[in-house]
Amino acid sequence: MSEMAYRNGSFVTMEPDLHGPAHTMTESRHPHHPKRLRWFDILLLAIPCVAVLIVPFYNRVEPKLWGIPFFYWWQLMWVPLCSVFLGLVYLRLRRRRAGS
Amino acid sequence: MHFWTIAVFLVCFVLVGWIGLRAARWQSGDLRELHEWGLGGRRFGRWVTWFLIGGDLYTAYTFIAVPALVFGAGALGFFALPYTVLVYPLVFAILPRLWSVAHRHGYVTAADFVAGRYDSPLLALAVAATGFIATMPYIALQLVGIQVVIAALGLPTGPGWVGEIPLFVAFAVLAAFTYVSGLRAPAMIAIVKDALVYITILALILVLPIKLGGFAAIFAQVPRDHLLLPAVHGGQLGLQSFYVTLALGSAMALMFYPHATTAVLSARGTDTLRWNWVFLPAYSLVLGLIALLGFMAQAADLSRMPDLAPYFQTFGPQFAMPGLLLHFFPQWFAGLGLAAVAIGALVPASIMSIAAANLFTRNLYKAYLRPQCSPHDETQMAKWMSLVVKLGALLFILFLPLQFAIQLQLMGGILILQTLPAIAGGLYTRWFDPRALLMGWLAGMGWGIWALSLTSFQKSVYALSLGSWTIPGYVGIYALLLNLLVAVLATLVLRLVGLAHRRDITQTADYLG
Repeated sequence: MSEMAYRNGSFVTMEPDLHGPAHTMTESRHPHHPKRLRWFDILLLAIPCVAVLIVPFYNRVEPKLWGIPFFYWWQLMWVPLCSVFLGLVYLRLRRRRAGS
Repeated sequence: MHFWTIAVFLVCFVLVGWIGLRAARWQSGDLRELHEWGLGGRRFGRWVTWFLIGGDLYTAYTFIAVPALVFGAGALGFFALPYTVLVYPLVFAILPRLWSVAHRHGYVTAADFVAGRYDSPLLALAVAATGFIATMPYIALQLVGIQVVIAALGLPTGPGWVGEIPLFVAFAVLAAFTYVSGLRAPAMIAIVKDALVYITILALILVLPIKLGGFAAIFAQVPRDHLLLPAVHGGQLGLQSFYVTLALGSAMALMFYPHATTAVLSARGTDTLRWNWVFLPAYSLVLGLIALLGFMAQAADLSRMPDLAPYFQTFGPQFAMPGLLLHFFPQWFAGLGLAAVAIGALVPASIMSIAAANLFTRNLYKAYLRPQCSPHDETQMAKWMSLVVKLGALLFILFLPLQFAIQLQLMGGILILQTLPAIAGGLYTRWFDPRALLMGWLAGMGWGIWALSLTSFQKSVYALSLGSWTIPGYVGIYALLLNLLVAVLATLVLRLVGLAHRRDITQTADYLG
């Protein structure tokens, strides 16, 4: 059973291979694909995650903000900050795609 | 009975039913095709996707349960916040790969992807069944949200047939528009729902602190042991490790709940999705504010108010949010807010039933029962199935104790996490052998259910002992670690004896987009 499929600008035959790796194409063939996340993108995505995972750091009442204990405003603050970091990665991806 | 509350509520509800039925004609496509009925033709743009995913993930049950949890348990209930912060970086990195490969190969469910990636219908069936089972109680809980609202309106909520009529009506509206319009209906209704939710929450969060004397006064009323998580002492990590693992586990599970997959796959492209993840945290902010409502209900001492006490007796802390609406706002506004919650139940319930129907049709009916069925038969089956799934949820609510649905929903997240190695793992590598993944899945499911049974399915916490340390954590995360361990070891063994296979109909380039 084989079928023709349009892949990466050319027609290729897709054939399930019963013996070895289905396709010789490996991740290393696309290291600079514009939509791949680079290590710095991953770092940017990790920052808001780490900020809300460090419970012993923010599990405290002081300093308060408008009467709201630190525990609560610290986590609330990271919601919009999470958007900022995601936005940075989004812009980086878009710039790379425009440049490629 | 509150006349104006009910009147405003009914107007909103009728409007939404009408929009849902009309939605079939919007961006019209051939609704006899599964990807048209069940994925809206994969054509939803930035704004529709934003409303759809927001309406999908932040359910009515969330609006009821999160303030209820904070009202009852304090700081621990705030885990919903790190949970919804964690989920966006995760989906931003991972889910565009799922969209790309699904788009190239016409996959409608995550189990479709697993079938293609591993050439293993059995593993796909396991993934599909897990998703289906986890979704059912979730739909039931949406109906519970509607039930709480009906009670708040002053309408009867049973027992007896007369008392169930309002719930039946809500159910009929939901079933009709989902059947007729497919995913287009919740997508359009989500816009109305979100407008109502934002208005309600803004009003609550602006008015209540003023009426209650400011945040300082509100937090002063919170019992000390509810204000923070208990401190770590000795080797006992207490609730802190549970808080972290619960947030992380819930975020990872949310990604691969079938209704999340359905909403993600219906987007027009990966750029639409990424743009959405940037702006979706706006909903998390709302969620955080909703969580604070729990403390406000406590500060106002709502549960002791004579007019609200009977409700609290029936629904417990779940009545915190509706109680605030009824007590502090004029009748018509309470109607608007309650409509927001009820419609907030219809949107996810509709998407969940579509997602469950897609799973059943694609990965059981077509894969095993009738492989030769035509695309039109397939879609018809999915439409019927969406009705069956919702009817099941309704019967669930009518005939089984409410506690049962809540416990099953608790288990649902743990089950979904066990499909993570197959789905998320598969998006990055074909290293795992499908049989090894199946073994890991079994181990994770088995251990997870056993660990839950230790607390009679009341709590999702398991206290892991490592030397002199006790680390209470979310059962789902521990089960996932066991699952991964088994999958890795079994893959290594299968490879060593030369039995592992790497059949795969996807290519590396399929995942980038």
